[in-house]
Amino acid sequence: MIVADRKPLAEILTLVRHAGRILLVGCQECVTVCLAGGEREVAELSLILRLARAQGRAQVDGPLEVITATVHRQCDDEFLAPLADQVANVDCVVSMSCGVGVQHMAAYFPHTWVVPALNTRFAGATIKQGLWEERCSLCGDCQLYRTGGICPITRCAKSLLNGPCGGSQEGHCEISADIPCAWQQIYDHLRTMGKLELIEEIVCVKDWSRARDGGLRRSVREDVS
Amino acid sequence: MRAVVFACAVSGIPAWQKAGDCPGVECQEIPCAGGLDGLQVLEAFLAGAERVFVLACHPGACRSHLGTETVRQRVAYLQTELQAAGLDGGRLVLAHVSPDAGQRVRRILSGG
Repeated sequence: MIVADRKPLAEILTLVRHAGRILLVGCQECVTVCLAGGEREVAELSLILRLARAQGRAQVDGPLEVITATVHRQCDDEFLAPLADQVANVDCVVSMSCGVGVQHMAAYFPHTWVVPALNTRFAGATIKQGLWEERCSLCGDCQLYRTGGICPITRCAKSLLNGPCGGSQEGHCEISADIPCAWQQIYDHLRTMGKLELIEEIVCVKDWSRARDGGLRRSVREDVS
Repeated sequence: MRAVVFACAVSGIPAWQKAGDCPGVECQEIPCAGGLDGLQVLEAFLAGAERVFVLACHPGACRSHLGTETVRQRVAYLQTELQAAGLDGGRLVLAHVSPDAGQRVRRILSGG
């Protein structure tokens, strides 16, 4: 899932300082799971913004009215369409979605000012309640078949494809004793699986053209388009 | 309404009942302080409460084991948010009480 954190309240207040009425929109997908932009977080931010307004911290002239909605997905037109009437009656939309949702909302309602309430962080997984960790760098050329399902591009500080480096110390990365060495994890897992021969295979220079190269990336399925 | 109390059913509610009459204070029972709903706390402040109190079990005495630690973290988070919104975070008070601590609840509610 895409993991996001809510922006500090002071920043959100600044973003809506010229608005008298805002629509606060959550998303029921990834940001609901990581407790950043679901229905509950929308309700909480709505209350806090109203409290701040009552304290004179919202920096607006007149009352700040907060309308709330949470859609199934902010990155699909069909779920944004029902918001049209509400969007037409506000000064600003505050999106509690990832950067994809914010952009999609801004494109779908081109005459409405849309601002983000979240900072989009990474593609990750739930490690335990309240803790999410990065797992994928979206490099476009998955190498996990070589490494037993542990991504060295994401989890090795140097993104090495042939590791470990000399900074691996007793299972930890040299940058912090709190960070496990991804290549130690890969080695341990391959040994458990009886596939240690995979670590001896030298990986040539990776084709990074499918990653952050050439501008906007697209994915096409011609059979359904 | 001067204050709102969210009281744990095991410790806070019996203590509240022994505290006697507290004018201007509204008490709401919650099954465990660890289940404190932040939205209800914020709504209480929006409704005009001067202070919100959470009455929880003493650390180590929680029947749900993790309730006292969970409520400590939740209250700390809410105090930070209240502060950011321009309120004094100290208006949200977490207090640990035993079921027979009626006098102590009176002192807590009076700011003592």
